Amino acid sequence: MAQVADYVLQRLTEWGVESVYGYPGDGIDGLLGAFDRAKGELEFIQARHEEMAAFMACAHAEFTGEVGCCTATSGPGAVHLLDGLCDAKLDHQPAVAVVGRQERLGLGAHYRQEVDLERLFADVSEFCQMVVHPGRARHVIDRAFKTALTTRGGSPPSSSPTTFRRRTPNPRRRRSTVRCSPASAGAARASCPTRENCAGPPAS
Amino acid sequence: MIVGPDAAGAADRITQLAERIGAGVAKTPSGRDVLPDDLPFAAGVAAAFGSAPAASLVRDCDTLLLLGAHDFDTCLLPGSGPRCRVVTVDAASGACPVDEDVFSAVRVTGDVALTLETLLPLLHRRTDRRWRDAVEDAVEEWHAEGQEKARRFFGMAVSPRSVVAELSARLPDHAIVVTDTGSALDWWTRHLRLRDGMRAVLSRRLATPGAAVPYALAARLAFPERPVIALVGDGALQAGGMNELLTVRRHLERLADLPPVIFCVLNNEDLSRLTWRRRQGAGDPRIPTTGEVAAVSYARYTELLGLPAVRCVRPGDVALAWEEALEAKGPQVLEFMVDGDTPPDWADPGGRAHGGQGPPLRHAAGTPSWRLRITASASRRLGSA
Repeated sequence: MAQVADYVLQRLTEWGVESVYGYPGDGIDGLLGAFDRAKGELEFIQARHEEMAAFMACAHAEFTGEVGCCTATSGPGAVHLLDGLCDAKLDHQPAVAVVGRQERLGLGAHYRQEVDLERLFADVSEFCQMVVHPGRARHVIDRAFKTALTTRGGSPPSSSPTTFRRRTPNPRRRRSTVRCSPASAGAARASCPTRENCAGPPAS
Repeated sequence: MIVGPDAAGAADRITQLAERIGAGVAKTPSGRDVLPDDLPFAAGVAAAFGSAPAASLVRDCDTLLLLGAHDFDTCLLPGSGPRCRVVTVDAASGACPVDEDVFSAVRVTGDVALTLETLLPLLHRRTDRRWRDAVEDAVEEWHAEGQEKARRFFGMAVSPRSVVAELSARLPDHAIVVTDTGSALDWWTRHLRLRDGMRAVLSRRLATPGAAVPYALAARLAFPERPVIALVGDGALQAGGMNELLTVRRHLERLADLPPVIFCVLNNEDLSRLTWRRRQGAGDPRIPTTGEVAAVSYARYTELLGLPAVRCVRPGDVALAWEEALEAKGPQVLEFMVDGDTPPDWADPGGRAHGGQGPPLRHAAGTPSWRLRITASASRRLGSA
């Protein structure tokens, strides 16, 4: 069964993304595994620093007119992204950042590397949303891309970090743990959205 | 007319319109590749620290038409009130750079090419060509002066002007030129002449040092068939670019047989643009503790990574270095040891193009030399340097 992270990459592909610029970190462990499973469908281009990855995403948008996509882990990785996302914003380039986040239980609890990403990205993003339920992954990704593409000519332009809360491995649930994107509130069920169980059919 | 990035694809219409109304055309930095530089009425980059003809154009025009120029710096407009009529065409209403409270602008929201297509049949050809002639004369003189300056060098140091001028003379068709911030940007503004079909991209508004190397890599991956040249100063290269050459190295196998990606490093061991601003603006000398860039041989560093590199230290070798680099394939670093004491040709050292610094361009048709006036006014302002 596909994990949420696999679905995220699938959806990026459906939006026309062929390469994602980024730097690894444990906040996006699930996504990194999904890149491996995607077997070249979507290429992960590893930069030396998240700032550089965001510049690459911005430049990709500038050169191709497509949405540039980058990814980083929570905390320091997310902070590093800021400069490149700001670059995209100021030069009106559509960019989407997929950012890791710690487990929901750790939010606001001085969790290691915790940074309030919504506040962090407030000035560089037109749309910034944390995915808190697998069933919302598609909706949030789609909004991020639509926002990036439609507001690029507007004066407060368009980088759209979408944060995915990372679920830390839980020994009792190791087999079913979804690391990228969380279980739902209340029921800690690690189900994953597929095209079928996401709300509505895919845009394509 | 000022064209910006949202006017991309409208070059034919822009040319027709400029011809029809007898206008000169300057470009915003992000709109640099919207219109080729080899057109006689293309006045270069309108920006703080932009080209002199563009500054005169903005300062002296009676009507300013901004086309898709969301990144136009309105600080260039003289004074705080409306001195000239302003007409803007923008793809989105929120992208208009001109504040309507300050300037009485006619604002059109629409695709630039489509808008101009609609507008053109409604416009009569302007018979009085004096303004247009004055602009063309100014542009021609400015290019000639630039070429003359690029041929000069002092002592045995390579002139950074010649590095960009010699590249410009050899730019392959469809080349992509990426520029970092720093003095590389000044020589990009002054000595690079893009032809039709070329791209020029930079971190424009944020102007982050270190953006050129990742930009160039993204360009290479997006367009595997086009030559890519990055103009990077040593300060910018040390601000992340050196690290990112590791990423280039990592992809060497897939890039090796593709057209060249040339990382041109202008090595002057100085944060040259900053120190020139300080020297001109505040009258301060070069201050080693804050201005100097740690000396590194970027060619040797690059070779250590396993990438090809060439170091050029003699003025007479610049042209040959470019020829060989452009004939090669794959990524390479081309390091030039350049003269950091080459002053930039900023139209206004304070970064503004406010009027009053020289006689108006619109009277140029009746006066002998546009260049003399500009240089006279520039030397007055650069006196403290």
